[in-house]
Amino acid sequence: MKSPLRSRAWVRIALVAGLVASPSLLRAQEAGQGLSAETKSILGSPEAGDGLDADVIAVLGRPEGGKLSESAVNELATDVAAKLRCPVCQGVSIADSPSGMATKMRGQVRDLVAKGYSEDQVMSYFEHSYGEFVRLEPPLRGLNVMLWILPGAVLLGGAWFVFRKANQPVTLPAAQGAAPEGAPGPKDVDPELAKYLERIRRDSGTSS
Amino acid sequence: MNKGVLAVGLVVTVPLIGLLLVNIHRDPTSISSPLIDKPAPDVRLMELSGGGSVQLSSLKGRPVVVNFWATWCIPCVQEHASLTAGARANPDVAFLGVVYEDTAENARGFLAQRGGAAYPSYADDDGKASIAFGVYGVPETFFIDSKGTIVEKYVGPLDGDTLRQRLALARR
Repeated sequence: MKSPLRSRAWVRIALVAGLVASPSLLRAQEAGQGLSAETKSILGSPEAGDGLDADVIAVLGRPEGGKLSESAVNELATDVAAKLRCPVCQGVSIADSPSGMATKMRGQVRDLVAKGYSEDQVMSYFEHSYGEFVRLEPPLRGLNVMLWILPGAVLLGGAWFVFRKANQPVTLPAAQGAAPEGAPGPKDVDPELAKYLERIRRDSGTSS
Repeated sequence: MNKGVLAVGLVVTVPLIGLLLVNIHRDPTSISSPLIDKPAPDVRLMELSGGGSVQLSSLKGRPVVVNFWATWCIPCVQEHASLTAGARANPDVAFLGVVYEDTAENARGFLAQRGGAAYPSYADDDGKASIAFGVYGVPETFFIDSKGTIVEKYVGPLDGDTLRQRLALARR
């Protein structure tokens, strides 16, 4: 049987422990407030992995990619980073930019891949907040189809035009006068020279 | 004039003129965000002191103003007084600052120099909150209604009038 002294000591220890733990419990409670039931269920399930962020779950749901090895995570994260545009740079991927924001975005990509999110999921996470602009390569859908088709169509159209022009028979101006074949016609002669030509013809008796 | 040349010219210029007319009244500070009319990202923000954190969704039920700022950003320094006055004049609205690409120490120093903060600012050391909100640069301010939906994103320094107008949107 426990002595009353010992049980009082346990009560004291429990009280002190409770006091020490309460601020962090309160904080955890504050942090968990307002989460949707689905987010809470995913956050609480051990198979979904630890450290998932509520905002990521709200956008993407559960990870669909499966767990990868360290090297596979690095490889996939590098691939995905090369396809995401750095929002504070000019036409550079986050893989190629040394800016602080790009570094943080690379960190987030790696984090999401390590948590088991697939490439498509990671891309749509960034697209959700930055819009389609964040994809370096515009996806083949909607008006974007024009971006993929127009350059080829213009190139083919141009090639057809050049080919047609090149194969057209050359129409020479209608021959005038009795100029021998190969000799320049009246339209081809420099007007300055024409008067000398006319004089030669007149002197030689070949004037037309 | 050659009809073909005229047709090609019209095909090229008419859409361009149309595009100009459609966008001529657009406010360049109002960069469209895919998050408008969507639920605000439910980010967890760490206090500048490194102590506690707040989950954004816990503020549902009242309008929220989330201002991304940095001490190195001149327009952020310019708008600081308007935001402070706005937070004091609108106690029903939760104002939050999120420190972008800057240290908690710099932010604390900046706020202490100005006699303390009228509303809490939080650190975003890993940039996750900035990414979740699709922030391009600072200052950017998001107005969230009491249901947790983003109603407006404002890019650039806020003045008192602009803040009042945008707050009215978040209160609707």
